[in-house]
Amino acid sequence: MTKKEFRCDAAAAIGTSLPEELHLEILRRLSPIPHVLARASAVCREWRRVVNNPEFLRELYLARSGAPVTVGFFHNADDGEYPRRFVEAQPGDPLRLSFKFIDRTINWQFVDCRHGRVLLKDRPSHRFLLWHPMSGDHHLVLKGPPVSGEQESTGVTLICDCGVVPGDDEADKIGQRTLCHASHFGVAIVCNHRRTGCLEATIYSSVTGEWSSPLQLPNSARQIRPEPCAVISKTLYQPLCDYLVLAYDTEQGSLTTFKRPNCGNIRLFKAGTAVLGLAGVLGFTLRLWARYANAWVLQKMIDLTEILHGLSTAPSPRTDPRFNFMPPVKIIGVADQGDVLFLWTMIGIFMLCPESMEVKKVHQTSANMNVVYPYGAFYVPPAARTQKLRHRPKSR
Amino acid sequence: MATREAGKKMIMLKSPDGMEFEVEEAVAMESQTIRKMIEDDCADTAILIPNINSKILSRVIEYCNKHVPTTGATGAAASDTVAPAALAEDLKIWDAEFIKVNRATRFDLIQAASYLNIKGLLDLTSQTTIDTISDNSLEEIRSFLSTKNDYLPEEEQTIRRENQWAFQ
Repeated sequence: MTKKEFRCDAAAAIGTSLPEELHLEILRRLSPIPHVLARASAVCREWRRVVNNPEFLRELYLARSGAPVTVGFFHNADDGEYPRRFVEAQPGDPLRLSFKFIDRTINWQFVDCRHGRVLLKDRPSHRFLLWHPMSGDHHLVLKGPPVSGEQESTGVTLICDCGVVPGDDEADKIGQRTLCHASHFGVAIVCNHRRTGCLEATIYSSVTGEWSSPLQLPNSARQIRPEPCAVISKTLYQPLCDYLVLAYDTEQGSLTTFKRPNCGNIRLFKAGTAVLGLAGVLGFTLRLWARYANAWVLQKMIDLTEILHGLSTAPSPRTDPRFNFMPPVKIIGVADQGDVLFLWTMIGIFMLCPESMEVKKVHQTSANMNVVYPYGAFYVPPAARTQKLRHRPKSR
Repeated sequence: MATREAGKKMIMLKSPDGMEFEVEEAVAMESQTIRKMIEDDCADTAILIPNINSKILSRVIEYCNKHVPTTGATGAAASDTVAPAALAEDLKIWDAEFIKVNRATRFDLIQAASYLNIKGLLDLTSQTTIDTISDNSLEEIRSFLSTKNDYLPEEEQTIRRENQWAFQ
């Protein structure tokens, strides 16, 4: 319907239906949660055309600064079947994730989750599996890494090759991010050398199919902490003991360390486009920091007893042998962009958006959920979904 | 331009069914469409709002009255005493009450908000429709929007297969 017709027909249309041009207004306000977009695209041809239009998707993601919507988290708590290893955080229909290709005889453990893709590791064989849960696409890294630390002193990260093509402007990057599942990737590892304890690092590239020769930081027997790292551009930041952070620039091939604030249990994340963020909980206080020009700046302090009712009167974790080593509040997961935190407490596991201060309970208090992997999903149009990693031209 | 109370410019809005509404200029300017007309000085004494009947127009004015920033002459006392957070909370509750209307009225409000370019009202009125999309079956969404299913049965099968993870 054209604009002119809308004006003439408006009176006639009253009470019956909405002019088609206003459908676009409504679709623009959709939250880019994948299942919502997929459903919208099945309503009628016009909606499908709009929802699968890259321009439209770009606009939708730009409104969220290109961040995927956190729909829940993966975890490694041993409770049997794989589908139960995902905890939903969004209302509505449960996501139907295709777990079926995963070989049940292998005890795949979740190790990272970024840009809508999930990285799993088979510990005994040191094999990695990259999985795109929305489409079921997966990619096996058969070759073992040239470094190996103890399990608890190894940090593993997925580095997505999307949106880091030199010369691309920001809008293009975000447009490309909708195709993250088809882009090349790296798997970066930082660990303590088994014998010397020195910090080592290496990166696998899906372009070459090879691991880089290991990098070492001499006289650096600082223990890697079990918390996952943050990735900014192609540098990963891994928390170390003694209130330090290890920075591994995978492009320059350099390892450096710097101090971090001492504020209880912490997680690192990407704050904004190129700023390292840190969230820490000490007692019942959540602090959010950002690192500007090599100095940490406190951004926000939140008294968690004010938003989590019953927290201050809940029993101490010490009273339950299952939670002996847990603090009263532990940050167990942080979305890549730092816009969502998952907090473990004795009164349940909560999802908190520090920006809006929205908080909601997503799971009961459980053992072995010390580290979870928030999953943010993009909607990928079916036509784009058929692109496979190996068919992707290297030039782009 | 009509002026009435001291310091407050008044604007006359006319609906096509002949009703006239006198509103403060600041209230009328919640509509970007009207704001442009006023700024371009093409709003003489009265502005005719085509295709928005008096019932809907009065509701739109009610919304704008509530949402006009409480700076300057009107409501200065209120904004001085009430904290911004409490004010926002109060507006949320008011909005929730305001949007409790039947489907036909909501669609009329969406059209009016779009035509008059009132972002807040368009957000508010669209939101319930968006909730319908995430919570209901395809048939319910289509009937809610009076949209015709123009897919052939086999096409719909293919689309459902492509996106099966999003459906039952």
